[in-house]
Amino acid sequence: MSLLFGQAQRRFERSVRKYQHRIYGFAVYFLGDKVEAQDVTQDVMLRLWQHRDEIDEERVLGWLLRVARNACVDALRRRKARRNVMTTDTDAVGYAVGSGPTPEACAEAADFQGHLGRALSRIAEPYRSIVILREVQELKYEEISGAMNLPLNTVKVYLHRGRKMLREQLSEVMHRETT
Amino acid sequence: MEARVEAYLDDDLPVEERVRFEQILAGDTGWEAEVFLARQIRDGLRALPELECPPAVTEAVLTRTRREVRDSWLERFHAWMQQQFSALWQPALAMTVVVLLVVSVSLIGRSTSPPPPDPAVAQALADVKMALGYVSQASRQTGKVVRNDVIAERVVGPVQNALNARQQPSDDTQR
Repeated sequence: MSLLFGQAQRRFERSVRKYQHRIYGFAVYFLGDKVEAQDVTQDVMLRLWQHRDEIDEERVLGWLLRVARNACVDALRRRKARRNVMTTDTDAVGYAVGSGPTPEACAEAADFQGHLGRALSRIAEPYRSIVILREVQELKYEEISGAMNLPLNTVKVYLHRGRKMLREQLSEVMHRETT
Repeated sequence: MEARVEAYLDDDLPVEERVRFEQILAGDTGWEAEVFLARQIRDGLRALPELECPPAVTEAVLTRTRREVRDSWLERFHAWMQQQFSALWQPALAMTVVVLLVVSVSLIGRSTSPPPPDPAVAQALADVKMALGYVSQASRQTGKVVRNDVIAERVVGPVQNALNARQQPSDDTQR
Protein backbone atom coordinates (compact mmCIF):
# COMPACT_ATOMS: atom_id res chain seq x y z
CA MET A 1 0.00 0.00 0.00
CA SER A 2 2.78 2.40 0.96
CA LEU A 3 4.56 1.49 -2.26
CA LEU A 4 1.48 2.37 -4.31
CA PHE A 5 1.11 5.60 -2.41
CA GLY A 6 4.72 6.56 -3.07
CA GLN A 7 4.33 5.69 -6.73
CA ALA A 8 1.28 7.91 -7.08
CA GLN A 9 3.19 10.79 -5.53
CA ARG A 10 6.19 10.28 -7.80
CA ARG A 11 3.90 10.10 -10.85
CA PHE A 12 2.21 13.31 -9.76
CA GLU A 13 5.52 15.12 -9.30
CA ARG A 14 6.66 13.91 -12.71
CA SER A 15 3.49 15.30 -14.31
CA VAL A 16 3.91 18.61 -12.50
CA ARG A 17 7.48 19.01 -13.72
CA LYS A 18 6.55 17.96 -17.23
CA TYR A 19 3.50 20.15 -17.79
CA GLN A 20 3.96 23.13 -15.45
CA HIS A 21 5.39 25.43 -18.13
CA ARG A 22 2.71 24.53 -20.68
CA ILE A 23 -0.10 25.22 -18.21
CA TYR A 24 1.51 28.41 -17.00
CA GLY A 25 2.13 29.61 -20.59
CA PHE A 26 -1.45 28.88 -21.55
CA ALA A 27 -2.75 30.78 -18.53
CA VAL A 28 -0.47 33.77 -19.16
CA TYR A 29 -1.51 34.12 -22.79
CA PHE A 30 -5.14 33.52 -21.93
CA LEU A 31 -5.32 35.95 -19.02
CA GLY A 32 -2.59 38.40 -19.98
CA ASP A 33 -1.51 38.50 -16.35
CA LYS A 34 1.39 36.57 -14.85
CA VAL A 35 0.27 36.73 -11.24
CA GLU A 36 -3.19 35.42 -12.04
CA ALA A 37 -1.58 32.78 -14.24
CA GLN A 38 0.54 31.61 -11.30
CA ASP A 39 -2.56 31.23 -9.17
CA VAL A 40 -4.30 29.31 -11.93
CA THR A 41 -1.30 27.01 -12.42
CA GLN A 42 -1.11 26.26 -8.72
CA ASP A 43 -4.83 25.64 -8.55
CA VAL A 44 -4.75 23.32 -11.57
CA MET A 45 -1.86 21.28 -10.18
CA LEU A 46 -3.56 20.89 -6.82
CA ARG A 47 -6.69 19.68 -8.58
CA LEU A 48 -4.56 17.16 -10.42
CA TRP A 49 -3.33 15.97 -7.03
CA GLN A 50 -6.89 15.61 -5.78
CA HIS A 51 -7.89 13.57 -8.86
CA ARG A 52 -4.61 11.70 -9.29
CA ASP A 53 -6.26 8.30 -8.99
CA GLU A 54 -8.82 9.00 -11.69
CA ILE A 55 -6.59 10.20 -14.52
CA ASP A 56 -4.51 7.99 -16.81
CA GLU A 57 -0.99 9.18 -17.46
CA GLU A 58 -1.64 9.52 -21.21
CA ARG A 59 -4.63 11.76 -20.64
CA VAL A 60 -3.01 14.07 -18.12
CA LEU A 61 -2.17 16.90 -20.53
CA GLY A 62 -5.68 17.04 -21.99
CA TRP A 63 -7.16 17.00 -18.51
CA LEU A 64 -4.80 19.72 -17.29
CA LEU A 65 -5.52 21.99 -20.24
CA ARG A 66 -9.26 21.55 -19.82
CA VAL A 67 -9.07 22.38 -16.12
CA ALA A 68 -6.69 25.27 -16.83
CA ARG A 69 -9.07 26.71 -19.39
CA ASN A 70 -12.00 26.49 -16.97
CA ALA A 71 -9.90 28.07 -14.24
CA CYS A 72 -8.91 30.89 -16.61
CA VAL A 73 -12.53 31.50 -17.56
CA ASP A 74 -13.41 31.67 -13.86
CA ALA A 75 -10.51 34.04 -13.23
CA LEU A 76 -11.71 36.30 -16.05
CA ARG A 77 -15.20 36.26 -14.64
CA ARG A 78 -13.88 37.26 -11.23
CA ARG A 79 -11.77 39.97 -12.79
CA LYS A 80 -14.75 41.30 -14.72
CA ALA A 81 -16.78 41.32 -11.54
CA ARG A 82 -13.99 43.29 -9.85
CA ARG A 83 -13.40 45.83 -12.53
CA ASN A 84 -16.62 45.62 -14.44
CA VAL A 85 -14.63 46.43 -17.55
CA MET A 86 -11.90 44.04 -18.57
CA THR A 87 -8.56 45.56 -19.37
CA THR A 88 -5.49 43.56 -20.17
CA ASP A 89 -2.04 44.65 -19.28
CA THR A 90 -0.14 43.26 -22.23
CA ASP A 91 3.10 44.79 -20.95
CA ALA A 92 2.98 42.52 -17.95
CA VAL A 93 2.92 39.49 -20.24
CA GLY A 94 6.06 40.48 -22.06
CA TYR A 95 5.15 39.48 -25.60
CA ALA A 96 8.18 38.50 -27.59
CA VAL A 97 9.95 41.02 -29.69
CA GLY A 98 10.68 39.76 -33.17
CA SER A 99 14.30 39.63 -34.19
CA GLY A 100 14.28 42.26 -36.93
CA PRO A 101 17.53 43.30 -38.46
CA THR A 102 17.15 47.01 -37.66
CA PRO A 103 15.92 48.89 -34.59
CA GLU A 104 12.99 50.20 -36.64
CA ALA A 105 12.04 46.67 -37.61
CA CYS A 106 12.38 45.59 -33.99
CA ALA A 107 10.17 48.42 -32.81
CA GLU A 108 7.65 47.62 -35.51
CA ALA A 109 7.63 43.95 -34.57
CA ALA A 110 7.26 44.80 -30.89
CA ASP A 111 4.40 47.06 -31.79
CA PHE A 112 2.75 44.29 -33.77
CA GLN A 113 3.25 41.78 -30.93
CA GLY A 114 1.61 44.23 -28.57
CA HIS A 115 -1.39 44.59 -30.89
CA LEU A 116 -1.50 40.85 -31.32
CA GLY A 117 -1.52 40.26 -27.56
CA ARG A 118 -4.34 42.73 -27.07
CA ALA A 119 -6.30 41.28 -29.99
CA LEU A 120 -5.84 37.79 -28.57
CA SER A 121 -7.18 38.85 -25.21
CA ARG A 122 -10.25 40.34 -26.89
CA ILE A 123 -11.45 37.36 -28.86
CA ALA A 124 -14.14 35.30 -27.20
CA GLU A 125 -14.09 31.76 -25.90
CA PRO A 126 -13.61 29.05 -27.03
CA TYR A 127 -11.80 30.65 -29.98
CA ARG A 128 -9.11 32.17 -27.77
CA SER A 129 -8.21 28.87 -26.12
CA ILE A 130 -8.09 27.08 -29.45
CA VAL A 131 -5.89 29.75 -31.07
CA ILE A 132 -3.49 29.65 -28.10
CA LEU A 133 -3.34 25.87 -28.04
CA ARG A 134 -2.84 25.59 -31.79
CA GLU A 135 -0.75 28.64 -32.68
CA VAL A 136 1.19 29.34 -29.49
CA GLN A 137 1.52 25.89 -27.97
CA GLU A 138 1.45 24.12 -31.35
CA LEU A 139 -0.72 21.25 -30.18
CA LYS A 140 -2.19 18.78 -32.67
CA TYR A 141 -5.86 19.04 -33.58
CA GLU A 142 -6.49 15.73 -31.79
CA GLU A 143 -4.87 17.01 -28.61
CA ILE A 144 -6.92 20.21 -28.73
CA SER A 145 -10.04 18.16 -29.37
CA GLY A 146 -9.29 16.08 -26.26
CA ALA A 147 -8.42 19.08 -24.12
CA MET A 148 -11.46 21.10 -25.16
CA ASN A 149 -13.80 18.11 -25.25
CA LEU A 150 -14.91 19.10 -28.76
CA PRO A 151 -15.15 17.09 -31.98
CA LEU A 152 -12.18 17.41 -34.32
CA ASN A 153 -14.12 19.23 -37.03
CA THR A 154 -15.49 21.70 -34.54
CA VAL A 155 -11.94 22.46 -33.42
CA LYS A 156 -10.97 23.20 -37.02
CA VAL A 157 -14.00 25.42 -37.56
CA TYR A 158 -13.39 27.30 -34.31
CA LEU A 159 -9.73 27.75 -35.14
CA HIS A 160 -10.68 29.20 -38.48
CA ARG A 161 -13.10 31.60 -36.80
CA GLY A 162 -10.56 32.55 -34.16
CA ARG A 163 -7.92 33.34 -36.74
CA LYS A 164 -10.44 35.39 -38.69
CA MET A 165 -11.38 37.34 -35.57
CA LEU A 166 -7.74 38.08 -34.93
CA ARG A 167 -7.26 39.28 -38.51
CA GLU A 168 -10.29 41.51 -38.27
CA GLN A 169 -9.17 43.01 -35.00
CA LEU A 170 -5.65 43.62 -36.19
CA SER A 171 -6.57 44.98 -39.61
CA GLU A 172 -8.91 47.38 -37.85
CA VAL A 173 -6.15 48.52 -35.48
CA MET A 174 -3.61 48.86 -38.26
CA HIS A 175 -6.07 50.69 -40.46
CA ARG A 176 -6.70 53.10 -37.59
CA GLU A 177 -2.98 53.61 -37.12
CA THR A 178 -2.28 54.31 -40.80
CA THR A 179 -5.13 56.80 -41.02
CA MET B 1 -11.72 32.00 -50.58
CA GLU B 2 -11.23 32.79 -46.90
CA ALA B 3 -10.81 29.14 -45.98
CA ARG B 4 -8.18 28.92 -48.66
CA VAL B 5 -6.08 31.63 -46.98
CA GLU B 6 -5.44 29.42 -44.01
CA ALA B 7 -5.13 26.24 -46.04
CA TYR B 8 -2.59 28.07 -48.15
CA LEU B 9 -0.60 29.15 -45.09
CA ASP B 10 -0.84 25.69 -43.53
CA ASP B 11 0.37 24.25 -46.82
CA ASP B 12 -2.75 22.12 -47.05
CA LEU B 13 -3.75 23.06 -50.62
CA PRO B 14 -3.14 20.63 -53.46
CA VAL B 15 -0.48 21.83 -55.90
CA GLU B 16 -2.92 22.83 -58.66
CA GLU B 17 -5.12 24.75 -56.29
CA ARG B 18 -2.12 26.40 -54.72
CA VAL B 19 -0.92 27.67 -58.09
CA ARG B 20 -4.38 28.96 -58.90
CA PHE B 21 -4.59 30.69 -55.51
CA GLU B 22 -1.23 32.37 -56.01
CA GLN B 23 -2.42 33.65 -59.41
CA ILE B 24 -5.45 35.17 -57.73
CA LEU B 25 -3.24 36.78 -55.07
CA ALA B 26 -0.98 38.28 -57.69
CA GLY B 27 -3.93 40.08 -59.26
CA ASP B 28 -5.78 41.07 -56.09
CA THR B 29 -4.05 43.36 -53.59
CA GLY B 30 -6.91 42.96 -51.09
CA TRP B 31 -6.43 39.19 -50.77
CA GLU B 32 -2.70 39.63 -50.90
CA ALA B 33 -2.89 41.92 -47.88
CA GLU B 34 -5.18 39.41 -46.14
CA VAL B 35 -2.66 36.61 -46.64
CA PHE B 36 0.18 38.87 -45.52
CA LEU B 37 -1.68 39.73 -42.32
CA ALA B 38 -2.63 36.10 -41.69
CA ARG B 39 1.00 35.08 -42.08
CA GLN B 40 2.11 37.91 -39.80
CA ILE B 41 -0.36 36.78 -37.14
CA ARG B 42 0.68 33.16 -37.41
CA ASP B 43 4.36 34.03 -37.21
CA GLY B 44 3.71 36.50 -34.39
CA LEU B 45 1.86 33.91 -32.34
CA ARG B 46 4.51 31.28 -32.96
CA ALA B 47 7.20 33.75 -31.95
CA LEU B 48 5.64 34.18 -28.53
CA PRO B 49 8.13 32.82 -26.02
CA GLU B 50 7.59 29.56 -24.18
CA LEU B 51 7.12 30.89 -20.69
CA GLU B 52 8.65 29.17 -17.71
CA CYS B 53 6.57 28.62 -14.64
CA PRO B 54 8.29 30.28 -11.64
CA PRO B 55 9.87 27.61 -9.40
CA ALA B 56 8.06 29.03 -6.37
CA VAL B 57 4.72 27.99 -7.85
CA THR B 58 5.83 24.40 -8.37
CA GLU B 59 7.52 24.24 -4.99
CA ALA B 60 4.39 25.52 -3.26
CA VAL B 61 2.36 22.76 -4.91
CA LEU B 62 4.87 20.03 -4.13
CA THR B 63 5.37 21.19 -0.54
CA ARG B 64 1.65 21.16 0.05
CA THR B 65 1.10 17.74 -1.46
CA ARG B 66 4.09 16.27 0.40
CA ARG B 67 2.74 17.65 3.66
CA GLU B 68 -0.62 16.11 2.84
CA VAL B 69 1.05 12.74 2.27
CA ARG B 70 2.97 13.00 5.54
CA ASP B 71 -0.18 14.03 7.47
CA SER B 72 -2.11 11.20 5.95
CA TRP B 73 0.63 8.78 7.01
CA LEU B 74 0.48 10.13 10.56
CA GLU B 75 -3.29 9.83 10.56
CA ARG B 76 -3.11 6.27 9.35
CA PHE B 77 -0.45 5.41 11.94
CA HIS B 78 -2.56 7.00 14.66
CA ALA B 79 -5.63 5.07 13.53
CA TRP B 80 -3.60 1.87 13.41
CA MET B 81 -2.30 2.50 16.92
CA GLN B 82 -5.80 3.14 18.20
CA GLN B 83 -7.02 -0.03 16.59
CA GLN B 84 -4.17 -2.04 18.05
CA PHE B 85 -4.64 -0.50 21.48
CA SER B 86 -8.39 -1.13 21.51
CA ALA B 87 -7.74 -4.77 20.60
CA LEU B 88 -5.01 -5.25 23.20
CA TRP B 89 -5.98 -3.19 26.21
CA GLN B 90 -8.19 -5.82 27.88
CA PRO B 91 -5.64 -8.67 27.72
CA ALA B 92 -2.92 -6.24 28.77
CA LEU B 93 -4.96 -5.10 31.76
CA ALA B 94 -5.70 -8.70 32.80
CA MET B 95 -2.02 -9.60 32.52
CA THR B 96 -1.04 -6.61 34.65
CA VAL B 97 -3.52 -7.57 37.37
CA VAL B 98 -2.22 -11.15 37.44
CA VAL B 99 1.38 -9.96 37.66
CA LEU B 100 0.51 -7.57 40.49
CA LEU B 101 -1.30 -10.34 42.38
CA VAL B 102 1.61 -12.73 42.03
CA VAL B 103 4.09 -10.11 43.18
CA SER B 104 2.01 -9.06 46.18
CA VAL B 105 1.33 -12.66 47.26
CA SER B 106 5.00 -13.51 47.05
CA LEU B 107 5.83 -10.43 49.14
CA ILE B 108 3.20 -11.24 51.76
CA GLY B 109 4.32 -14.89 51.94
CA ARG B 110 7.90 -13.82 52.53
CA SER B 111 6.98 -11.47 55.40
CA THR B 112 4.90 -14.16 57.23
CA SER B 113 7.51 -16.95 57.05
CA PRO B 114 8.52 -18.27 60.57
CA PRO B 115 11.72 -16.98 62.15
CA PRO B 116 14.61 -19.44 62.51
CA PRO B 117 14.10 -21.69 65.56
CA ASP B 118 15.81 -20.94 68.85
CA PRO B 119 18.83 -23.33 69.33
CA ALA B 120 17.76 -24.15 72.88
CA VAL B 121 14.23 -25.09 71.75
CA ALA B 122 15.68 -27.16 68.94
CA GLN B 123 17.91 -28.90 71.43
CA ALA B 124 14.94 -29.57 73.76
CA LEU B 125 12.90 -31.02 70.89
CA ALA B 126 15.85 -33.26 69.96
CA ASP B 127 16.05 -34.40 73.58
CA VAL B 128 12.31 -35.20 73.62
CA LYS B 129 12.66 -37.17 70.38
CA MET B 130 15.63 -39.04 71.84
CA ALA B 131 13.74 -39.81 75.07
CA LEU B 132 10.64 -40.94 73.24
CA GLY B 133 12.78 -43.09 70.94
CA TYR B 134 14.49 -44.62 73.96
CA VAL B 135 11.15 -45.31 75.65
CA SER B 136 9.77 -46.80 72.45
CA GLN B 137 12.79 -49.09 72.01
CA ALA B 138 12.71 -50.17 75.67
CA SER B 139 9.02 -50.99 75.30
CA ARG B 140 9.68 -53.15 72.24
CA GLN B 141 12.53 -55.04 73.96
CA THR B 142 10.78 -55.61 77.29
CA GLY B 143 7.24 -56.00 75.98
CA LYS B 144 6.11 -53.50 78.59
CA VAL B 145 4.21 -50.30 77.90
CA VAL B 146 5.14 -47.03 79.52
CA ARG B 147 2.06 -45.32 80.79
CA ASN B 148 1.07 -41.95 79.38
CA ASP B 149 0.94 -40.25 82.74
CA VAL B 150 4.55 -41.44 83.38
CA ILE B 151 5.64 -40.02 80.02
CA ALA B 152 3.76 -36.80 80.78
CA GLU B 153 5.38 -36.56 84.21
CA ARG B 154 8.93 -37.68 83.34
CA VAL B 155 9.41 -36.50 79.79
CA VAL B 156 6.86 -33.93 78.62
CA GLY B 157 6.57 -32.15 81.97
CA PRO B 158 10.31 -31.32 82.41
CA VAL B 159 10.59 -30.23 78.75
CA GLN B 160 7.50 -28.09 79.11
CA ASN B 161 8.91 -26.56 82.28
CA ALA B 162 12.24 -25.91 80.58
CA LEU B 163 10.52 -24.22 77.65
CA ASN B 164 8.36 -22.14 79.93
CA ALA B 165 11.39 -21.14 81.96
CA ARG B 166 13.17 -20.11 78.74
CA GLN B 167 10.18 -18.10 77.52
CA GLN B 168 9.75 -16.34 80.89
CA PRO B 169 12.82 -14.04 80.72
CA SER B 170 12.01 -12.95 77.12
CA ASP B 171 8.45 -11.99 78.17
CA ASP B 172 9.94 -10.01 81.08
CA THR B 173 12.28 -8.17 78.77
CA GLN B 174 9.39 -7.38 76.36
CA ARG B 175 7.46 -5.92 79.25
